[in-house]
Amino acid sequence: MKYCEEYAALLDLYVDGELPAAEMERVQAHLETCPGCRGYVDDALVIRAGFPDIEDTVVPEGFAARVMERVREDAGKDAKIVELKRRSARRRAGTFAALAACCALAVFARTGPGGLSGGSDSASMVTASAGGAAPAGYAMDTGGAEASDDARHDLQMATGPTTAPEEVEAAARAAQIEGEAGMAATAMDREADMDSADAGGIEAGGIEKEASPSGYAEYAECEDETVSPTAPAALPEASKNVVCTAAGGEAALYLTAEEAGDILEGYTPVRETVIVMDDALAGLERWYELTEEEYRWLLDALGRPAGAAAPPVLVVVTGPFE
Amino acid sequence: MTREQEWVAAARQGDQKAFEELVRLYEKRVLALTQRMCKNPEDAAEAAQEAFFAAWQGLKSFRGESSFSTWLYRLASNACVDRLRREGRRRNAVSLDDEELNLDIPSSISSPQEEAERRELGERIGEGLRALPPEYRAVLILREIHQLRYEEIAGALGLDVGTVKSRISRGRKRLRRFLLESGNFSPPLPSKETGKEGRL
Repeated sequence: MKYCEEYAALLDLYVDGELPAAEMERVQAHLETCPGCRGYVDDALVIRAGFPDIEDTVVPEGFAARVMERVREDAGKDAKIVELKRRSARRRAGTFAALAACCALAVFARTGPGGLSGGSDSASMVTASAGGAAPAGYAMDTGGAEASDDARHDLQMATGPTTAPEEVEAAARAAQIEGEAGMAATAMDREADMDSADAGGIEAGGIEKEASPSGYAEYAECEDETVSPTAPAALPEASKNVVCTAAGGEAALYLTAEEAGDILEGYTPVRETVIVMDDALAGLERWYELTEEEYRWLLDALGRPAGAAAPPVLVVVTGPFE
Repeated sequence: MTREQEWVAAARQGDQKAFEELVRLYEKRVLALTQRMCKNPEDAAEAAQEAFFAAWQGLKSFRGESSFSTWLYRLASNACVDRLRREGRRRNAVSLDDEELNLDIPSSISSPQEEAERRELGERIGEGLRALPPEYRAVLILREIHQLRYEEIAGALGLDVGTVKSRISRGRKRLRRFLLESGNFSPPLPSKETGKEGRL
């Protein structure tokens, strides 16, 4: 028997208790005289009875634990980013405090085969650069306010013959985008500039993502502008540049130049970041790549507890340097 | 502030233990929805997990305009619909395998025969639900199992109440027709106690 069309729209509302009281009474009165509509309501209630209760739902074993495992993984990622940002901020703060005005030097060289064994040649390279005669392909900045006046030239010079003029311009444009954010710094690497380009390039604003196997490090490194002072308007654009992927990894250890002393003298940095602040060069970071064995040796030389890290181990020394 | 509200507030601040309490509080309810929305228990568990994970990630933007449970049901429903869409693209068909429906009927009745009948009816209802379009399925599940009011269903699914009314009415009529046509639907006396919300 069919239900009445007139009541068809009301019967479900009635079953679900969604009608106003007066309407409920009207439908109820109708049901007493209409077997078709009564049949529909009865069927609806039987269907309701056939649905299971929530309490009968079977929860797979370990369900909540699996959810929380995923949550912890997610929270772990966030924590890592926060930690790296914090560490990066601390490092920058320390750098700014330590480096009021200094002559800065930017030298880049891959640690040669054997690392420390490449000692004398590498060391001389550093010495030569410190003297102001940068070998071709090695970044060098003559430091101080004068340096910023010629920053574009220095950048060109620093990136050396392997760097095309377009790359310098591109770096300058990227710097312009991020310039308002604050700190201006340059990082130049004879080879790693190209490496980073290969790895996915540098996004405007200096943030590189995904391309590197250690993306968090780049992310944190490039967040530096968030903790830096306002860049001077007069600063040439090139010197505002931040290149953040030269070494492509997270540093395992940060040292001041004082802490490092001459322990790393036999090494050549693989990356160097020049920090410009208030229209003046404010400091320098040198990044070194060490093997795991060299890293353990370094920790021992520093009198620090032994630690392991996956090679190549990156060590950053912040100076001024003599 | 209720305990649940306290957990929500704490979880919003990143308190994982508080969030775990919420997971344990709602796991059955969320799974009750996903197990009847998805085509197999594995998909249902994954959809439920996705819903909880989405809740964890979205808690900071959860403004409490709806209740946490309503919001969670929406996330679960979305996770199921996403899966069904993906599955639909892959297979263009939905399995109606009875064994996948997981629609156990509560064994609160004493007679083995009645229990068998109810189990049989539950299986047919599950089958009928699976034959419904997902949008009808979702409203019926939230209505009949979760016992939400129309307004709450509207909130959970991001619909207006008029749409909910329409979908419940059409969904229930389609389900009824399915049961009648399958020959497994022989309504008992109208006075049968359902123990659930709703008139009569």
